[in-house]
Amino acid sequence: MEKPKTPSPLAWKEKLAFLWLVLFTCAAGLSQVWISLGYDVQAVPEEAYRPPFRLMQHLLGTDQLGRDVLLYLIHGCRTSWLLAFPPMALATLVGILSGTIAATLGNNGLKISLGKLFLSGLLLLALFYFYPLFQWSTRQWSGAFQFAVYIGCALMISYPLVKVSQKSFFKWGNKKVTIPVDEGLQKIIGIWATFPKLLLLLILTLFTPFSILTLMFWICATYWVLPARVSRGMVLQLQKESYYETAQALGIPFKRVFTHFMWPQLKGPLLTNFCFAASGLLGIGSTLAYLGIGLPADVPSWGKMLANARFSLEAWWLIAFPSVVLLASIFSLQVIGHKFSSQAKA
Amino acid sequence: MTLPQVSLRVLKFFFTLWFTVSCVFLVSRLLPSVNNPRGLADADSTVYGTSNQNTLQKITSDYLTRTGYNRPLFYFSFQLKGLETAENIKPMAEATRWLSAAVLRHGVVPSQAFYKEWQNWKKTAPPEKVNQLQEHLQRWAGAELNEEISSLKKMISRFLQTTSSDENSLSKTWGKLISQNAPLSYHLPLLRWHGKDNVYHAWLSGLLQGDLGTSTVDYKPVYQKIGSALHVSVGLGLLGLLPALLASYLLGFAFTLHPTSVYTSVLRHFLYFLDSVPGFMITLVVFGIYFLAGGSLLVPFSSGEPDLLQTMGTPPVLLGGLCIAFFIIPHLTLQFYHSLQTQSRSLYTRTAMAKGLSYRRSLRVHALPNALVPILTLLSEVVIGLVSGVLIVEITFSLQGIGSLLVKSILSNDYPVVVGITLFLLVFRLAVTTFTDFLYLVLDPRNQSNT
Repeated sequence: MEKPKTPSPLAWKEKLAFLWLVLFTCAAGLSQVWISLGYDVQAVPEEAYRPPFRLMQHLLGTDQLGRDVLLYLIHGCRTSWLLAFPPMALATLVGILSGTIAATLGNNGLKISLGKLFLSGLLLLALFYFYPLFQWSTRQWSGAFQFAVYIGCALMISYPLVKVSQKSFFKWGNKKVTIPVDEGLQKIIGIWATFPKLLLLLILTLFTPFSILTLMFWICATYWVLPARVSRGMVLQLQKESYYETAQALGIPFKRVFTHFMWPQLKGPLLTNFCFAASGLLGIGSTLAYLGIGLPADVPSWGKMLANARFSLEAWWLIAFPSVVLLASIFSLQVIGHKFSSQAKA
Repeated sequence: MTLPQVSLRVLKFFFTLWFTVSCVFLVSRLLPSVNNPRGLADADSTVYGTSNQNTLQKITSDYLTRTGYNRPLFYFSFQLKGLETAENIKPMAEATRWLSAAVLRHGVVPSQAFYKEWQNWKKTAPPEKVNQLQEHLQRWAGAELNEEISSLKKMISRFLQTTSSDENSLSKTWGKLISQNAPLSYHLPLLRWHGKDNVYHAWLSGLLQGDLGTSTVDYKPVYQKIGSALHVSVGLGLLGLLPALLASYLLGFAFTLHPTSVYTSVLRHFLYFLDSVPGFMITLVVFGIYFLAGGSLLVPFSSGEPDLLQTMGTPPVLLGGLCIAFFIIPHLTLQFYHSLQTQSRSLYTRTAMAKGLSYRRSLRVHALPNALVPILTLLSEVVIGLVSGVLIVEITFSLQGIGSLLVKSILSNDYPVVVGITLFLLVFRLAVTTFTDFLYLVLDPRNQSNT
């Protein structure tokens, strides 16, 4: 639990990795600024296949459409950054939430009386049944507002109803049913882990039109499984510790237990997992672009450059530069991940 | 195991299979533009770009009738009461859409009156007027926003007044129609039972007869397409997997035998490096080296159906196999090495060595069987993961396998093929995991002593 007083000095490898990631993020930011200013990569067919290091305006050469490779790579940074970090952060959050909830509630933690369950089921059915009616009678409102109002009203009516029905009129209504939350999560994880991630992403992208935003969503939906597993396992392990039992016995509220007892333990493995998963995601994002799936045609990406480069192997700079950038980003993340994992072990 | 236990397991297996298959199909019906013929939903609409609303609707409804997708999706469904009432009028195909909208918005009696009047008017009116009115009505039926609906209403009223009709009764019935409101109860959903005549039932019974439907791109049967693609993919997978298994075994063994050697540390670092390089870059490097060395991917022409051995002998498949071996070897070797190392440190290996066995022999006889057990699970994962490796290789080397078929059908929205491949992969996965479980039962002596 105690933190080392002085953090171990960074090895040169780690310094380099941090530097690279900072540069990577800066490039992504720069590209975002350029895009918001309307300054995009221009295709100039007369300038196609200029070799690198000859001209100042095309320092890294040009590709088959005459686009500047350096500029394209910087714009590719933005795509890769967007596809790796925000979805992974969200996925980690979802994973922590679901894993912690499943581990703390377990298979016997959530008990609902049969009467309440029956009542909520009835209310849900009624909610479903009367929605078209509501939709029609309030048709001058906009769709989202309509939905929000309906859900709001339904909650206001049904919550007190369920709350008040403490004692059911029937005997069977007081029977408690346990909901196996943990087992449910395990089942869901089992379903998500059916396919390799690349295949799952390929199939999921079919459901929405190709764009960065939808791809980010699907990546998030695919990658929450591992953080959920990690945090579930850690919390289960933690519950056997005596200080956790003490905290329970003292009646410390869950929020505080989480922030003061669980989070310090969870942090290390989750950060490690974040780094390794993000490095894998850089690879997956480029692979999807390489296959031409998930990203619209006008979004620049390193994978697309590599995919096109295979038709013109003589232009070595079209393979070399994106590969170097991609590998450097992947390995930087892995070096940092190794650092976190060794820190967690120490 | 006793007979009831076995039959329970078999029953559970088939239930899982049926449930998964049904879920895949029902979810696939949620895909966007699944109910449109090809090209109709394209953003640039090059195919049907100049056609008007009527033609587009006619094409879609023809397509739906031809494919049988106009039937309900499942055995039962929920439908608004108003829509059911509209169906009872039994309108002509071109009037179905706007008539059901009219019934839902303004009630059944005036809608029926308008429909009758419209039928009479249609017989005598000039065709372009009929078409214009049809277009307006379709747009009115499709409109969702309130302002749009009311403006279209006014437009139709004006249009009907200006049409040169003697008594202009159509305009009158239209006025009567839009002045009334449908009862609110029309917006309550009703449960409807459809019986066997639904899309799911037809699909499932087709599946049981080995019919997965036809591709929407070239109208070939899906199972035929998958079958011919499987040929290449199996060859590729075997060419990658078998050498990789051998290499991993030898490498892992060598690493354990000589843990301090320079080669071991260099090779291990190289394997760690290779493990984190994305697969398509490895493929590109192999591809590039082969081409720069003067190789070509031309396949010698052969007559007749190529058999598996023949396919495996062609240069692109051989190279692809090499790439796949490179994908698998790092992970497999490192895990095998780790497992073997753990076992070699255990007490029983020390005992074996104390009794006079050499290190190599004690590893092979005593540590290896124990080290292989956790590898079995890993192996089943590797075999399942092989599919994504095969996919990348097939795209790069332009091979006609399962992976490239999947990518192509995703890019061309060929849903029957995508569903077929997904089902195939699910069954493949199920077979692999079941086989692994079975192997555990056979190989692990602890399981035998229990029964």
